[in-house]
Amino acid sequence: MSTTDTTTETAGPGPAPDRCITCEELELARVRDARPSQTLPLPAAALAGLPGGRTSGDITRRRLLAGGIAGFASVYGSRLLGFEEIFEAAVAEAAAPAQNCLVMLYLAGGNCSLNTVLPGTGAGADYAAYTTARAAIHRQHGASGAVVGSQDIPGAGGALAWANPVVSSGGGGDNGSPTYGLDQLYGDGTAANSRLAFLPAVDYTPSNFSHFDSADYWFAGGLTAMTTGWLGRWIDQNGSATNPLQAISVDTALSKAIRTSVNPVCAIPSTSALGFSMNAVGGYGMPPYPPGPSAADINAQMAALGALQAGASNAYLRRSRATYGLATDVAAAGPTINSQTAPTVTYPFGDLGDKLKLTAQLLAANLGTRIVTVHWGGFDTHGGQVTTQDPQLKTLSVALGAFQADLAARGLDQNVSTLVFSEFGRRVQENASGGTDHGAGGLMMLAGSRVRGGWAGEFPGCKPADLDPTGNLKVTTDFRSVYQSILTEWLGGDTSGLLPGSPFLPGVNRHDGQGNTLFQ
Amino acid sequence: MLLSRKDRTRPTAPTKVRAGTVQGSQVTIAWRAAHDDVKVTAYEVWRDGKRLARTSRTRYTDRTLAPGKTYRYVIRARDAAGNLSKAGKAIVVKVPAAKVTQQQQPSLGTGAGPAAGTEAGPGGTQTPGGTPTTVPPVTPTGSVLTRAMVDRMFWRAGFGPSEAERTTWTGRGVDDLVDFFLTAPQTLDQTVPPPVSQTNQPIDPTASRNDLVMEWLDTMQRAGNPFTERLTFFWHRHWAVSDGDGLTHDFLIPYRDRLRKYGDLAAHPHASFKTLAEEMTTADGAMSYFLTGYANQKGSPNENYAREFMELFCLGVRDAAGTANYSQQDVQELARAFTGWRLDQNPNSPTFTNVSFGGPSYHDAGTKTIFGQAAKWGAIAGTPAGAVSAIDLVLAHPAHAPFLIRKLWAEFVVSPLPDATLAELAATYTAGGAYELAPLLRKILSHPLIFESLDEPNMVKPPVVYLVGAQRQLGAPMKWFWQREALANMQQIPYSPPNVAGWEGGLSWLNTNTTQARFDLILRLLMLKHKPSPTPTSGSGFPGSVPIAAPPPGEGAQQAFDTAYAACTSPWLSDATKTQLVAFAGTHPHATSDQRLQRQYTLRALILGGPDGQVM
Repeated sequence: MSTTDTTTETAGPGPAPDRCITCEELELARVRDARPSQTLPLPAAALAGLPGGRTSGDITRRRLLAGGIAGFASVYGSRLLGFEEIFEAAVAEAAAPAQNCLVMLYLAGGNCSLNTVLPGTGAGADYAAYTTARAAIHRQHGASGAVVGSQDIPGAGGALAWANPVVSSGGGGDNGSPTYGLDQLYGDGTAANSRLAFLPAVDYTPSNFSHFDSADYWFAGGLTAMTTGWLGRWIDQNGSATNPLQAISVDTALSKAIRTSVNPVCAIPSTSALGFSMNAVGGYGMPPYPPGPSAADINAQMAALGALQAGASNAYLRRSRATYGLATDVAAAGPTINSQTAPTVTYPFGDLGDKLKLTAQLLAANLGTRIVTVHWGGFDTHGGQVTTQDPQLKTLSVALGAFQADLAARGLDQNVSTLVFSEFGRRVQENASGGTDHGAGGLMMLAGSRVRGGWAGEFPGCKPADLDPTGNLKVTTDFRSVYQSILTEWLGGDTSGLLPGSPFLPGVNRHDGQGNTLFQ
Repeated sequence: MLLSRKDRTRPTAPTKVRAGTVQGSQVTIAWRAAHDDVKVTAYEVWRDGKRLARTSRTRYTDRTLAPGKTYRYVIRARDAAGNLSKAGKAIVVKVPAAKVTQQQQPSLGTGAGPAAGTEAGPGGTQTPGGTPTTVPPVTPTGSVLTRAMVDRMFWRAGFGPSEAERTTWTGRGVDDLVDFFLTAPQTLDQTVPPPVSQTNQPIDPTASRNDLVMEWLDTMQRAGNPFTERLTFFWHRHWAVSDGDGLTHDFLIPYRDRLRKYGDLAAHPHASFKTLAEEMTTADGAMSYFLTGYANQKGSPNENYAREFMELFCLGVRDAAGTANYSQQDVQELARAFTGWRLDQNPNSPTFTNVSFGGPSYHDAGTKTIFGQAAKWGAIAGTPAGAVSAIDLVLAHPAHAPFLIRKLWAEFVVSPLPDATLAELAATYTAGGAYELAPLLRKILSHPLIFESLDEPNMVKPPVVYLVGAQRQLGAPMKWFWQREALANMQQIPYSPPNVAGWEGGLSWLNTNTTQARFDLILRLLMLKHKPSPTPTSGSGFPGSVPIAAPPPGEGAQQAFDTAYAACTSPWLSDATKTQLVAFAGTHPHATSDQRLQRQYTLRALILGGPDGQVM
């Protein structure tokens, strides 16, 4: 669709940009044209570690469901699967040695990379250009004061700095956590110590500033509309015909990245769903419920309504009541599943923390999962950027740190890597509303114990002479070359033909004389 | 663990297939287990050429038999890799003719209970399981509208009744109300506040997809004659296009307005499916774009539209007996007949989104053979665009009338369409080759079966109907993305059907995610209705909204329920549900004014967003 969101401008201040017409209702790149073929109940027993070992013979549907239901997966696949078929397949695969898993975290809206990673104390000219272009919203060097601060990234000669919202308080930053932050993951940036690789200006060219088109390309792994995702194609070529848990979107709908044409995948929104509560997520402004046994939880009441008998021939009312009743089962099982698999780390409050916590839980269940996708929105900062992006950056950095710690505590960290990206970066020049408009060359990050940490891509510079003709950061790494590295180095298997149009230039270029790999 | 070698070996066919005695409308088929080199994981039960069910056991009970009919079953085995065996030996089951009328049950697929059990129905498009030969018993109601009947008509043909509509119509004739739906000119209620953006500004349907959707929902909420919008939306479901692939408002607004000519039968009393089909084929830019009709030109035929024209829009793949309605050859020849229609895709052109005839260099004017008839078929008869109309030919196919009529029927009635009624409706519809819509809709809406199961409603409200209905029940406004996001969670957004087949509907609307979404919608609407905007440009709340009136101290359980119930426009609830809710109201804390207010919110949410609120 996409009517254009920007006018062509030369570098430097230009006319007031068009209002972003699609920004009010980002869909977070959900699959719009796929419906789940069936709903799979997730037995609490399976997610808490299958009782009596992991051989197929121990699994029967009745035994699993007797332990209660922990949630529901919406399964997307080309054919219907039998319940036992799925769990037997999952268990069989889980019995094999641990396989590498990719967690894909998509930041929806176009994260402003230049206010996440900015020119450091050693990049005088770039920093001057940065502060000139962003008089209202730039960061200063050092601790935060009236202006939010930043800390040089070690090992980069002061060329780049982390904005303080992503830095732990232990590292002199603002994210509120003493030990979790991008600075902690990054460490000194040496391959031996660093668990975070970052690439500052990743995108495709020519840039398309539409949320939907850009997101579609990033998920498809190509510059045309496709009906499969790049990770979905990997699943089709290397995955299971019967285990939808091999790729999971932690969401109510499927991520386009794992859309397949043949093999099954699924979406799992939560295992500790609230069920039915008057304290809705996001708060709808109803009077607050009193402390103590909260009247806000009306699952019991809804279950009672769901248990009423409908007329023998009224399949529809019966179904309505039964489905409401099933939804309350989820809430009932929630405390059990959480007590059995509680993390020893504390995640930040909110959507991202919940999703990463569930991701770790699903990976710990070891049901043959190779890919997990998490979408998190709120990065389309056209106005008031400092007040909207900074809280998100704090949460992001703490959540990623907590997630890594959780994986390590569960003994999973050697086989899980996390890719973080957004569908584009933002313009260097701020706009008149204290924000920035759609740009190019966003920040990409890879986190994990076996990631070859450090600075993994070139920073193109933000002086006017260094920008592209539209006034944006030049793209120094094509996103598909990062995908290619992930496929061949990390996920493995048969990766031929998964990304049409290779080789992708510019490719991953680490400039450290140790090759261009992203993993150890 | 990766599959290292693909299993391509088929299982053996099941043997010793046998049928038990037919009992009422059911029969159990059983067979001996088949064998596979890896493992047989399921059996497929095929009936009359269509896959009926899948099971992992060696028996299956078909509960959808119609009296007097004969069915042919074959069983096939499948393994984990999806290899399917050859069909086992077929068995034929003959069902005795009915002595006593029986109510048919719809095919349920997996039915209520944990999904994906060992018996899995196809879960996809379900055709009603056979047609009874006599009309099932209906609550005798006569032709004078009771209040319950008014509610039923306004839900099935509209978006639910207001108190005013109940007052107006109770005691009048069914025929009068049907007449109203078909002939009353549209009026839009101006007392409904207009939808607003995040900052409480007017919306702009040309500026965002969100606003485009809100614009249509808003018309539905205000419509004095809601039937026109219901029927227009049906045509959107039927002639489905989806905005996922570049269809902007430039295409979608004219598309919707065009469909409205066939939904507003008051303004267009002689609207016909034939003209609708012609317009979609030769005039509609959205359809041309979506199904690439513009790419179908002389010398480079593109079958996309022609195939869907027959499969989804006019005929269906097979008829009720299982015979294919058209061949691949027919599709190709129809595509040739439809060549020549070009689409202006240039956003800077004054005729952007127009479809026009490109002339002889684009239209294949040769002879084509469709359904065995050779002629110089085109889209519209007697014009340079074709000497004879292939659209007329397709509509004259015997499968067309039953196909469309069944679909229209199912939009308004859950009970299967009786054979005799189908014949009568088809005769009306095809009379004079006109394919007029008003006489057909009149008969459907007037049929006594629309009052089926009146005391316990039995049709699931599609998300759009549920949302607009709740908006009307609460008198709630629309703002920002609240409604569209709710529709996304309930899995139906106008202009965004999942694919060209539209929305599947029926029981598929309800899963554990969508029930929570339906409940959540009511919380949003209560907020919009009762929470004023803290500032003129605030994102939460709605300007001019007023809080719920403070319930009096000492308010009793029944009183609390009655207040909440009336505030929701007294919708249908089963007696047992009402009893439950009154009991709940009694146990809810109510000593402080905050607690009494919370009780009101909770009761309203349970009334409108609970299980009983999902049926109409």
